[in-house]
Amino acid sequence: MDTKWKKCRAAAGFLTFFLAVTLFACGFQGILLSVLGRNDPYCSLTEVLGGDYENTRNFRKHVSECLNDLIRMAVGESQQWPVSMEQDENLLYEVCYEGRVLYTNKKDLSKYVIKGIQLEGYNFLLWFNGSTVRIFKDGDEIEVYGDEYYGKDSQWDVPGYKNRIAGAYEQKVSVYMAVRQIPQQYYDVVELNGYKRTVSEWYLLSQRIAQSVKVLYADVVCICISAILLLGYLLLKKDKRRVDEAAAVLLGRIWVEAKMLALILLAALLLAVQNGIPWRAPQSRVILPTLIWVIYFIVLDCKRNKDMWRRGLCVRALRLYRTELRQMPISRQMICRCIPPAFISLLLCVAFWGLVLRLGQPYLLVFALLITGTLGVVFFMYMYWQQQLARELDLLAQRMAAVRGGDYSGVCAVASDSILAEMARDLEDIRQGTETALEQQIQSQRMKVELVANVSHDIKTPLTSIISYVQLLKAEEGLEEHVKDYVRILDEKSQRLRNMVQDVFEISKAASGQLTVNMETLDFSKLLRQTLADMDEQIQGSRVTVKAEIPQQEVLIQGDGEKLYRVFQNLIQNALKYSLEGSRVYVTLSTDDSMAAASVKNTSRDEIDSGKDFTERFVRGDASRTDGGSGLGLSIARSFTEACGGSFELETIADLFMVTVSFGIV
Amino acid sequence: MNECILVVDDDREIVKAIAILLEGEGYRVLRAYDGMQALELLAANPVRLVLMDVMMPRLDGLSAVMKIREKQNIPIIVLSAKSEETDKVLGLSMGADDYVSKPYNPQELAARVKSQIRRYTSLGDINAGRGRIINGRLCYHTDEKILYADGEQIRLTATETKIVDLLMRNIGRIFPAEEIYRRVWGEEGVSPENTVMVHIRRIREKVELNSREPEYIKVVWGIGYKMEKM
Repeated sequence: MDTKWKKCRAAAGFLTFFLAVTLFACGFQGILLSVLGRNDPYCSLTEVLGGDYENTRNFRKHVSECLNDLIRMAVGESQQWPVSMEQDENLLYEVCYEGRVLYTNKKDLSKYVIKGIQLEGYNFLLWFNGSTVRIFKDGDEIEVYGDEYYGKDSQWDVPGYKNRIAGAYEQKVSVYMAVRQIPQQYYDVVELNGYKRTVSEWYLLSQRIAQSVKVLYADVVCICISAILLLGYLLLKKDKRRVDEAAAVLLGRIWVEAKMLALILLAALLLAVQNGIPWRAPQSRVILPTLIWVIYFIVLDCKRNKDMWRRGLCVRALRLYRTELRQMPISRQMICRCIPPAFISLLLCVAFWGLVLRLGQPYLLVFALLITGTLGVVFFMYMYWQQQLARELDLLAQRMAAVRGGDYSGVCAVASDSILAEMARDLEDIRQGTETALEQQIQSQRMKVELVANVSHDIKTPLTSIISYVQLLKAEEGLEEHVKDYVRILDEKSQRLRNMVQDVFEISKAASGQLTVNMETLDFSKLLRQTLADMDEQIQGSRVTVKAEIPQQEVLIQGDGEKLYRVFQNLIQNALKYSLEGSRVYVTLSTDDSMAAASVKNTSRDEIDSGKDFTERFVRGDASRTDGGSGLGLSIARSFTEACGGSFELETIADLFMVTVSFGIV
Repeated sequence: MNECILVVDDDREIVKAIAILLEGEGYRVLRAYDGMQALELLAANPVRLVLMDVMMPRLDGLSAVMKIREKQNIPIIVLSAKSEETDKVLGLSMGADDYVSKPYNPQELAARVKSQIRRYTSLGDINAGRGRIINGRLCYHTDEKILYADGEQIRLTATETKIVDLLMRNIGRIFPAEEIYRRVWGEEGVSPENTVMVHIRRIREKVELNSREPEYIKVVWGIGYKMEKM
C-alpha cells in the first residue's frame, strides 16, 4: 500500500514536471518565434497584438502588388488579370487611362474615393493619381512615402518615391481601390472537374491574423498552465527524483552506441518534419520540447551513469578482444596486434595506386612502383624480425612460467645474439639464485635437525657413563649416609638431564616440521580416560585430586594417539607438579557440533606471572628451575597438538592455570 | 654357567660399566673397543651374546653385525645413542636381535641380555605346536593356560590369566577396555578403563623387560589395548 502510494506520487511528480516543461517549451517557442520571426508569411507580435489585418506587412505588400498589377494592365504591359482579382469583392477598384475608365468592379468608385466617402464595410481607400499614392484608412490619410525614398524599410512598394517616379504612360493612369474591413469568402469556377473552392487572398490575410491571435492566446495559456503545474511539481520534487533515478537506471542499461544512434535518428526525423515548413508552423511546435527533453535525459544520463562509455558496446568489444588476445601466446598476440595497422597500410596503398593509375603519368607510375616495392620489402623484413622476436619472447615467457612453477632444470633457449639474450641471462641468474637459496634453506633446515641430533647423541654418550656409574654407586654397600645423599642427587639430576636431552631433540624436530605423525581416527574421550588410567599411580601419589568430566559417548577426532598421549601426559604431570596442595585438577572434555575441546585446569601453588608465555621453550612458572622439569613440557604439548592439526590454548586467570586442546570432530 | 658375553663400545668407561653390571649377574665379559677387534675376539672365543655399539672407529657397529651374521647366529643386542624409530628398525634389519638405546637402564639391559641368552639356549623347548602360541619371547600354553617368557613360567592371577588368554589368542587385535572387561569379568564395568589398566600394568611388570616402555602389551591411545605381533 505504502509503496503503491509512493509510486503514484512519483508518477504524479514526474508527470507534472513533464507537462509543465513541455507546455512552457511550446508556448515559449511560439512567443519567441513571433518576436524574432520576420521573413516568413506569419505575422509579427506587434501585428498580432494590433489585431488589424489592414495594419500588417503582408496586407501592405498585397495592396502594393494589386496596385502595380492594375497600373501594368492600364499601360498595356500585361493582359492577364492577377489571380482572382476580378471576382473578389473584397477589393473594389476602378482603373482609368487618360480619364477613361478601363476596368472596374464598382462603378463610380473614383467619386467616392476622391471625396473621401467610405463605402459601407470598406474602410481602406487608395488613390493613385498618376504620380503619387494617397491612402485613407477609417477616413484618415496615412503617411505613404516616409522619407520619400524607396528602400528596404519602405512599407509601400508603390510608385511616387523620389527614386521611383512613375513613367510617362503611368502618369496617364489613375487607380482607385477600396478594401473591405472584414473580408468575405467567395467561390471561383476553375478547372474542368467542376467547382473548386478558392479562398480570397484578403480573407486569408484577415484569417491569418485572427489565427495568430488565437495561437498567441493559446501560448500564453500554455505558459500559465505550466507555471501552475510547476508549482504543483515543487511539492512533489522529491518523488520526481525517484523517477529520475529509475529512468537513469533504465538509460544506463542501454548501450551508449544505441543511444547515439537513437539521437541521430531523432535529429533526422525532426529535420524531415521541419523540411519545407516554416518554423512557426504548428507542426514545428514539437521541436523545442523534444530538444529540451533530449537534453534533459542526456544530462541525467551523463550525471548518473558516469561509466556509460565503459559499459558501451565498443568498449566491451574492445575489452573482449583484449582479453581474448591476452590469453594467446605472446607471439600470436604480437602478430594479431600488427593486423590493424597492416590493413590500414594496405588500404592506403590501394588508394595510392588508384590515384596513380587515374592520373596515368608514366614517370609517376615508376615512382609509385619504387615506393611500394621499397615499402613492401621493409614491411616484410620488419614482420620477419618481429616474428623472430615474438618466438623468442614466447620461449622466454615459457621459461619464466616454468621457473615460477618450480622447474629449475634446463636453460632458456634464446639465441645469444637476440636482443632478449640479456633478459634470458638475467632470468637464468634469478633462477640460479632462487635455486641456491632454496637449496640452502633446505640444507640449513636439515642441518639444524642434524645438529641437534648430533649434539644430543654426543651428550648421551657421556651421560650413559654417568648414569651407569651412578647406578653402580647406588648398588655399592656400606656407604656413609651423606655420600648416599650425594649419589641420590646425582641420580636425580642425571635422569633429568636425560629427559631434557630427549625433549630437546623432539622439540627441535617438531619445530623444523620433521615430526612424523601417524594420523588415525580415535576416540578423544577414551584417550583421556586411558591417559588418566595410565597415570593413576602418579595421580594417587600426588597431593592433589583429579576430577575428570569426560563424556561416555565416543568423540571421534583425527590425531596421532602416541603424540596426543604425550600431550596430556605432559599437561597432567604439569598440573600435578605445580598445583596447590590439596587442590583439585579438572580434566574435562566438552563438545559442540564441530569441535571437541579437552581442558586441564589447576590452581597454581605459586603466583603466576601473567605476562609469561608458558609454551615458550624452557619457560617455567618459577624462574629458579630447582625441580625436575625440563621446562619443555608445555612446549612439547603445544608442538605435538599442532602437529596433529589441533589448537592449543593456554589461559591464566589469577592462580587458575588452564590449557585447552581442541580438535575438529570427524 | 658363566656364559661369555662380548661387549663392544669405543667408550672404555661404558664397556667397563657394562662389564661390571654383567659380571655382577654372573656372566664372563669380553671387551672390544671397535668392530675389527670384536670380530677377532669372536673368532677366538666361544661367545654366547654380543652387545654392540653403533658408532665406532675402524668398523662401525652395523657393519660388524652384518659380518657376524655371515658366520654366526648368536644373539646380538645393538646399543646406540640414537633413539629414533628408524635407527632401531635399521639395526634390527641388519640382523640384530634387540636394540637398547643409550643412556640405558642397567636393570633393563641385564634383563634383555638374560632374555636373549635364555631364548637362544632353550630354542628347542619353545617350538610351536598344538596348544601353544608363540610371540617373540612369550609362549602361551592354551590348554594349561600358562604363560612362559624366555621359557620361564610367569605367575599370573586368575584375572590376569584371562586377560593374557584373550590377548594371546588374538595377537595384533585391538580390544577396547569395555570389551576386555565384558569378556574377562563377564559383566559391564562401571569404569572399565581404570580397572583394565591396573591389570594391564601388573601384567606388564611381570612380562615386559621394561614396563615403562612396553613392547608386547601396548596401549593404542584413544582406541584400546593389544598384544603386539613380534
